[in-house]
Amino acid sequence: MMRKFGLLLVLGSIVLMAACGGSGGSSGSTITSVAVSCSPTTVSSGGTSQCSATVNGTGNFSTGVSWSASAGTISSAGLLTAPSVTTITSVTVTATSTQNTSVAGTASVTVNPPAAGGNVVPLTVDDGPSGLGYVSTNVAFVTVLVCVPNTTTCQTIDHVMVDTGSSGLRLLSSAAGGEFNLPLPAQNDPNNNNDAYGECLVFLDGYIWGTVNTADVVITGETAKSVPVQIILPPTSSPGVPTSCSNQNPSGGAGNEGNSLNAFGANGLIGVGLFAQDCGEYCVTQGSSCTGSQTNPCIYYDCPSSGCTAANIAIAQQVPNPVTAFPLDNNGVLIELPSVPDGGSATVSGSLIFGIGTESNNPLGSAQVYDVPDSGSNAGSFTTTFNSSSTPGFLDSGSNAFFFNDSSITICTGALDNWFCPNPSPDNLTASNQGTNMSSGVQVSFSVENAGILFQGGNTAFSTLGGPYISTPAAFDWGLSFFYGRNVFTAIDGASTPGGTGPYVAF
Amino acid sequence: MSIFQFRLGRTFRAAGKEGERMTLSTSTARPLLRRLGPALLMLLAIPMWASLGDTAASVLNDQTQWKGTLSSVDNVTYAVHEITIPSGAKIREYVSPAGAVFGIAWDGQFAPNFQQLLGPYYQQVQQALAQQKAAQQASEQQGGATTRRRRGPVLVETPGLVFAQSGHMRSFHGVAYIPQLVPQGVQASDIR
Repeated sequence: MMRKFGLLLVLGSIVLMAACGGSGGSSGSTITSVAVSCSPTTVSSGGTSQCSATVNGTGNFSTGVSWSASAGTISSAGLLTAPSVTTITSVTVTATSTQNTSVAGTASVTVNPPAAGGNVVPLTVDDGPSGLGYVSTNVAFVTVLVCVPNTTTCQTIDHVMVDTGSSGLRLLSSAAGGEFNLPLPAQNDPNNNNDAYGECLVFLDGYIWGTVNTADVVITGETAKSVPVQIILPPTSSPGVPTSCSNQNPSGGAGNEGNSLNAFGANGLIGVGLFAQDCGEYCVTQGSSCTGSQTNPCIYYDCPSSGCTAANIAIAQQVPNPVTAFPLDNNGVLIELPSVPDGGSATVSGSLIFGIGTESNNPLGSAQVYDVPDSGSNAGSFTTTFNSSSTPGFLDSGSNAFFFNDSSITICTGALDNWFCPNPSPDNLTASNQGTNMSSGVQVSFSVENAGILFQGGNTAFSTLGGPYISTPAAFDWGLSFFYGRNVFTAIDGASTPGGTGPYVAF
Repeated sequence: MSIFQFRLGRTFRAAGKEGERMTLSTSTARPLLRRLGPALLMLLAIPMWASLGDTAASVLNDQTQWKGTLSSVDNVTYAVHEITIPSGAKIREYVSPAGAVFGIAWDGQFAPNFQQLLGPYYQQVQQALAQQKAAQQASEQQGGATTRRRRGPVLVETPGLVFAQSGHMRSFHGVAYIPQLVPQGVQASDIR
């Protein structure tokens, strides 16, 4: 080994000398500096960070560098694998110009010891929370610990739905039929008499209303301190639902999913999606101009005892993706669910893993990164091409099937008429997905089975469940059916990861 | 059908009045109207606007009230008004030669206010979705053997109304149209 290595070095030197001779010569090229940056700049024990070097010089200089690290290992492409550490350790990464080895640049990467208790929380697909009046279908749940900030007054909440299609932790209050009943402090509006904030969150087919409060959220070894969360209230609780809230969903007042456990289907919702907050800049400056009309939607409200009115809210006070509030492993998540055979499974156990490339258990590996826009009408969506038609496509663990348009697949009849019933079943299909970083799409195969047959047993997890959507303007919703048998990453907007800066999905 | 047309026409005008509260400048709409002047007047000869039977000046008046932008006046079978609202969302209203809004499409960070957008048809969408929910609840009594809850994009397809909305937090898009009011020669897929 040593002998071979030595030979390679010698060969490398010869090539280098030749290169110098060729380019240096009369033009007199020189190297002036090497700048190094690594992403992310903080990783956990055994995690990875991608480093890059910018070489500056004059003339026809070489941009080649060689990499070294003060601890851990680094590849010839600049991928640092952090050492295993028990205390916080700084690793110096050095890139040295190959043309002039006396010119080098450095960057520091902080290596944290592993999150105590780990960054993995069990993920379960089953028939849903105790007391649910129906069979939960293709919903993935975790258990979270919620505490009054800086106290040991805590409550364990099971069956919290994991949603890559939204951001923020929302808990169904006991008044609404959920488990949560801790007295959390209100999140107050510092610009308006410290009124407590309320929030109207609109989904595709419904909405929830409730107060914004702060909590310490503990999930496995990760703790988000004093993080804003939403407590979902029924319409009978105070503050009541503002009239400007319910008209933003197609079900009207009946779309209030805070009515009951059956309406919401879970004891809570943990949005671990692509965005750092649920609303963002719009709510900072335009939130208070909500008129209840189509011109400006209503999201956050100030709720003094006299009633709630639409309000502006600073980014830091909005309900965030709780992952962003973890001290470690805060750049995104990895969802690992095992394969589910045709016909479905009674239950499925997998993992929700925090961080991307931050620990030894969450490297991107060979996963393809699909960059998505962070704003605009297709924010968070890549492009899916199916049956020669290109549409926005998105990965949404909170959707419980593949939802797309294919007029050749038979739609079920009667009560089942919003599901696919292909004949013959299964129907094996292929689509192609393309991120904004890609010059062409990558094919993906999936199958759809007859929902009428799937639902006859008591199974709760289906990798082949699908339902119809309109042909124009179409969209391809890759719901939980897609996640089985895959490792799916979602990187948060603006977060640095070994696969680049979020937002992106990878699988 | 005439009742539908009348009601849709009213919905359309109501949306125009709502526009008084919009904050977007009309400065973009007016030059566009001037540029399109001759073509616009030609199109107005075929009644194509909600302000059916009114003069060209009243169309300009509508635009002023909307404070929105106008686009796609290049199809003889229908006209499209696209309004960009302060949140950045876009709402496109499709108007037939008969002067009826036969379809609406939207996309943006948030869902629009459906009561205002759909007018009397909002009730129909709610009823259709309530029926879907009732079917699921009936199935629950049989352990979910006949159907299960659909968590995903909304799709309502009744003979008199099509409504669809897909997307996720930060990106909503959808369409609503009345099949009977779609003018001859226009495909439903043109509403997008």
